[in-house]
Order: sequence, then structure tokens, then C-alpha cells
Amino acid sequence: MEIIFIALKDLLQSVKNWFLIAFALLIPLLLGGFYFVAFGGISDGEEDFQLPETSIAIVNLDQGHAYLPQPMGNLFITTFTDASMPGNFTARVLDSETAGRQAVELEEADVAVIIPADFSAVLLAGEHPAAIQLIAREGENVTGVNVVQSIVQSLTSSLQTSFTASTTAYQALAEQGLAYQPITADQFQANPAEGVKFTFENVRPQEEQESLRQVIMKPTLGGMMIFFAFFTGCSVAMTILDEEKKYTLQRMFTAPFSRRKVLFGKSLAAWLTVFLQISLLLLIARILFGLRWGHWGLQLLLAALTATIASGFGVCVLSFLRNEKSAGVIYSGLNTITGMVAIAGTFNGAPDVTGVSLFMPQGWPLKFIYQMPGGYSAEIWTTIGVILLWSAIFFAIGIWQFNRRYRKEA
Amino acid sequence: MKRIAAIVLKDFQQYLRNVQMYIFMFIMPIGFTLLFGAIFSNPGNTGPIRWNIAVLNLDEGASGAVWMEELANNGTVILTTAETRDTNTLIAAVEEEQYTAALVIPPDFTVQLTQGNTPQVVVYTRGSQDVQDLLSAAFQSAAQVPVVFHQQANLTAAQYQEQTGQEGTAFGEQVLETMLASRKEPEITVEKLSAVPYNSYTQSAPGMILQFAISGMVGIAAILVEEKTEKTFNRIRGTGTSSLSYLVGHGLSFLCLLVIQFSVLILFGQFFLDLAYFQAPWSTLLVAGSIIVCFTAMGLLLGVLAKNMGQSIVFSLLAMFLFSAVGGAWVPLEAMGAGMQIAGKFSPVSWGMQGFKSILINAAGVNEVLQPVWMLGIFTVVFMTAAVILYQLRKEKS
Repeated sequence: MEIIFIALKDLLQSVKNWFLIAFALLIPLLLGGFYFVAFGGISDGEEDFQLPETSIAIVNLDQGHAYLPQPMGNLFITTFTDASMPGNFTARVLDSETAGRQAVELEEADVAVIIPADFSAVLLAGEHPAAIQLIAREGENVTGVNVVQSIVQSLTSSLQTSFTASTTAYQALAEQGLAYQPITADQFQANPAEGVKFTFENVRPQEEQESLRQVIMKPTLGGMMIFFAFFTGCSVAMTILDEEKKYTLQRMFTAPFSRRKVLFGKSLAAWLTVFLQISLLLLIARILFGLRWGHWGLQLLLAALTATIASGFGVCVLSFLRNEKSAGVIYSGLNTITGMVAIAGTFNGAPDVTGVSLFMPQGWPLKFIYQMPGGYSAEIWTTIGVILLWSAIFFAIGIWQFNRRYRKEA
Repeated sequence: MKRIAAIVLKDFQQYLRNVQMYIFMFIMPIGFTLLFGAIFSNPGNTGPIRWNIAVLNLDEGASGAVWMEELANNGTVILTTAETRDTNTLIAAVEEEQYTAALVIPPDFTVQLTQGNTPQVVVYTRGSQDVQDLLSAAFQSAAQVPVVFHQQANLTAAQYQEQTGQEGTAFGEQVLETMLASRKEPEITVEKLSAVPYNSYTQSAPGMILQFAISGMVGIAAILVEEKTEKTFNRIRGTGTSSLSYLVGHGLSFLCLLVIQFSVLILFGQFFLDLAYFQAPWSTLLVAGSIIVCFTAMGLLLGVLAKNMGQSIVFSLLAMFLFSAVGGAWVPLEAMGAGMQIAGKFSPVSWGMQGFKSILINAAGVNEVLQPVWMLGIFTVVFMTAAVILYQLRKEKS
């Protein structure tokens, strides 16, 4: 009973602490939400993700080839000046590489596309890959330049493929003493390169399907939840040092219950706070962003397991620290470093939690998040086992160290 | 003047005693600089989109494999060959979010192409239409190689048959093999013009300096709130200190703190991260100075705005995250949509980033950083005016 009283008192203090609330709930949601807004618009067409204005300088040095009616480099001019290009793209033709480079340097163009003199010849010979050079300013209009690069890549790739196909056909027929007839427009229309027909079969009902925004946000917010849960664990466990400083801890030690119960009560407070934090974050993310985390039982288990390992980590770290001031610095630094290493992969779309992340205590609850949609699989039980093992070690060290310390002081 | 100096000295002592300040001033920005620097160390890495695709290639010919090779070249796709041949297991893996989608290449994929038909491919996904559109574009683009090669091989076989009167299928297959063997990826090189070599910390270092400089506002706001709640403010007023001296005193102490923070972090960037702040020392001084003055004014405004400690913390953190995120401190504004770029103009962080980045990338001279400096100046005037007006109003009320 005493343990519960101690835990409830600390929990109440945590709930009243604005700083803790901001750190535990507001910041992880803001950080996760930022990615939702910044990148999610890519999926929604022009309404909320407009390509930035991009000015393109095309330098077509292509000399063409005797076998070709016109230099293939002309296709780039046609493409970039075509009315179907995004409205924010403007293109003009320059006559030399120097002019293109200068246009970029003088900020008259965002990107220069340089088509070399032997572009058509290289395509026809088929011995070397076709090469095109883009010139842009470092760190400026990255999106626009990337889109231009992607168009150039796609166009060159199509040309390369078509030329490889036709020159190979021509040579094969020529070796047999036969004539090669290029594909005519009529043949092309009769047999268009339709490619492949895709039939998308959704494994989920409409209301449970994931939008691009949700695909992006889920791992990021998951990482943030775990990152800040460890801060909360340490922050609440720090009440031990706070009470020690105010001599209320020493008063509690004189009460007719064991010292261990006081420490358990403090640990329980940290556990409850983190449990509440994760549960609320999961719920808010579900309501605000429609994120589905998996079976509700697993969500509760995630909150419980994260609370266990985060509070254990907090108790363990704090047991070695003497005063509040140094404790604040050390636990923040330690949490920042271990947390950052553990969640780094979530920022660039890593499909799983692996490698060095799993050497950090934050890595395992994050792995659990990745495994949750898979239900109660064999893998998730292994993760649960590892989290519990880490937690047991943290608690054992923390409680042993605190006991040792206060026994000495008594 | 004496009174201002006394306030500065008193505040400064309070700051220095607060050990948590050091975390926000130095440890956090350095830690996050290294983290974001590592994430964006690949210049092509502009975001968190990666498609984790499982492929079950049942194709009895060679074209399915060619298609997958082409798809693997797409930077946003991570291909995994399915260990199972059971589609139900694959569907379960997609449902369980092991993969974004599963692509099942049918056994007759090559045959269909050879016969000039359009092969039908089933994609299992849990993504909505926007995800399907992006996946479809990536798959279709990679499929062009086998599709075009087959189309040309079929036409060549037909021409062979027409001219020789013999069956052309074997000839067509031979041509197709030659095409596949001689296919090449085009080489698109992107030359990025900058006065200094590319450094992966160009974005994260100034971004984190700016973000955690704002976080320091918790300190100044806390002092102002504490003085209000503990009536120190009334005692100071009792000494005959004017409103302006009071605000200037607190502002100066915060300004000194920011000067120390910026100096340490800029020196760290220069000597440990090899950033080129000193390539344009006057510009660096001008940009850093403008940001410091601007953030000082913002700190004073927040301090005057907050009525209690809780509010001061929340206001500061909100300012930090909002201005940093919208201002491009985490992810370059250039990599975001036009809407976000316009929104960014309303954050002083975006102008600070513009100033610092033009120095780090182009060694910009003083004239070239005047635009961000002017904009930061406008923000300073707005923040300072608001702080003074609000302070006067509050004083009259009390």
C-alpha cells in the first residue's frame, strides 16, 4: 500500500509539471506532425505540394548522326518546353556549356542541362552509356533540381533502351544480310508500349488503408515516443534525488516500512508516468493522424514494456548520480546519445531496427513497434524477452546501488 | 547604466548556476548536429520515403529478373526476394507491415511479352491510392527495359520471317539475349556549384545552433516570470529603474549568453566539423549578430508574455519547435513544397539559415547576406516593440 501512495504522489506531481507534459506529449507529437506536413503533401498533387519555381537552361551540343533525322538532344528541348511540363518550370536554350554554367552561377537559372556533342553518336554506337551533365547551385532549389534530374534520367534511360533495342536488331538482321525496318508510327500505334498492367489488391479494407503521410509518419512518431519516454523515465526517477536534497527522502526512511518499498514506489511512479505518456501518444496519434499501431493488447504491452525499460533505465542511471544538477546533465546527455543512435534509422525510412540500434535500450521498444502489426508472432516474444531482461538488469543495478548508498549514509 | 549592469551581472550568475542550461546550449545542439549530419550525409537523401517491396518472381523466363534488376536501381525501393512461394503468406507479410507491398511476377511474364501481350502483374499492398500511384510509377518505369526489348525483338523476328520465309521466334530470342547483354544505365552527373566542398553538416550545424538558441529563451523567460511571481520585479522598480533599463538589462544578459553559445558552436563547427564559417568572417559575424539580437528580442517578448513558469516553458518550446521546423532548421526548406517555403519566410530561423548557408556554401560576402540581416532586423523591431508595449500595459495594470 505504501508503494502505491508514494507512486501516486509522484505521479500527481508529474501530471502537474508543465515541462514534463511538454516534453512527454507535445514535442513528440510536434516532431512527428512536422514530417506529416513537410513530406506528406507530395502525395496530394498540386493542392498542397507545389513544385518550386525552377528555371532550366538547356545546352544542346548534340551534333546528331547521319543515320538520324535530327539530333536526339532536341528531345530534351521539346520535353522541357512542352506545355505539359509543370507550370512552375521554365526552360530556355543556351548555346554553350560556359553560358549554361554562367547562367547557374549568376542565378539566372537553377539548373543547366548539358547534352554533349556525341550524345546521338554514343546512343547509336551502343558501346558506352549515354552521359548528360547537370549543373546546379549547392543547397538551392533541391526539389526542383531533383525533379529535373529525374526527368533527364527517365528520358535518357528510355532513349538508351530504345537505341540498344533498335541497333541490336539492326545489327542482327544485317549479319544475316537482311534489311532492318524501324518501327513505324502505325506499328507503334497498333502495338503501343503499354508496359505492364498492374492490378493492385489491397490487403486491407478502405478505412484501414495507409496514406503516404501515414507511411512516413508512423516510424518517425514511433521513434519520438520512445526517445522522449526515456527522458520521462529519468525525469521522474530524479524525484529520488530531489527528495534527498529536500530531506523528505530521509524522513520517509524513518517511516515503518522498508527502504526498498520507497524505491519501488518511486520506480512505480516513473513506470506509471511513462505508461500514461505512451498510451496517450498512441491514442492521440490514432485520433489526430489516423495511425494504426496494431492490436490494442499489443499497444498496451508496448506502453507497459516501454515504461518498464525506461523507468528501469532511469533508476539505474540516477542511482549512480549524487545531485540534481549533475544528474540533469548526465541523464539528458546519455538519453540524447543513446536515443539518437537508436532512432536514427526512422528518419530515412529504414525498414527495420537492426545493428547498433539494438545495443541501445531504446532500440528494443522501437523494434517492438515495428513488429506490432505482425501480431503475437514468435519474433515479438523474443523482443519482449529482451526488453524484460534489459529492464531486470537496470532495476537490479539501480536498486542495489541505491540500497548500498543509503545503507552507507544511514 | 549602473542599474543595467547590475541586472546583467545578476542574470548572468543565475544562468551560469543553472547546469541544465549547458545541456540545451551545447550538448543537445552538438549531438543533434552530428545525428542530422549523419542522416543527410548522402546528398541524395532528401526524405524518409523508402518502399520496402517483397518480390515473388515466378517468371519462367529471364525478363522478370531483368525487371527486378532495373527496379533495384531505383533509390527509393528496397527489394527483398520473397522466401515463400505462397501468396497468402506474402499477403500476411504486407498486412503485418513487414513490406509496403508485394509484387508477384507471374510464370508467363516473359511469354506474354514475347507474344506481344501486356503481362498482368498483381501487387498486394495496404497503401491507399496515393501510395499505389507512386508504386505504380516506379514499377512501370523499371519495366520499360524488358517491355521495349521484347517489342523490338518481336518486330525483328517478324521482319526475319518476312524476309527469309523461315520461323523467326528463335532469331527473336537471340536478338533479345543480345539486347539484354548490352543494356546500359545512362550516366547522369550532377555538378553542384559551391565555393567550398560539400559538407554534410552544412544544414544541421546552423540549424541546431538556431534551434537551441531559441531553447535558451526558457532561461530568460523563467527569470522574468520568477521576478514577477516573487515580487523581485516590484523591488527593482522601487529602486527607480526605468522600464527600458529593466528590459535592456535582462536583454543584455541573454544576449551575452547567446554570444557565448554561438561562439562555442561556431568554433566547434569550424574546427571539428570542417565548416567554413571563417571563410567569410565578417558575414558570419553579421549574420550571427543579427540572429542573436533578434532572438534576444523574442526572448524578452516571451518573458513578458508568460504569466507563470509553466507558460514560459511552453511558449519557449513552442517557439523553438515551430520556428525551427517551419524555418528549415531540420529539413532544408528547398526540399519542401512551395507552401512550406512561403510559410518559412515568417520564421526568423529561415533567414538565419539562409544567411549561414550562403556563407557555408558560397562563402558569401557581407553584401550577399544583407537580405537575411535586414529581415532579421525587421523581426527584431517587431518583437522588441511588442515586448515594450506589452510590458507597459502590464506595468500600468499592476
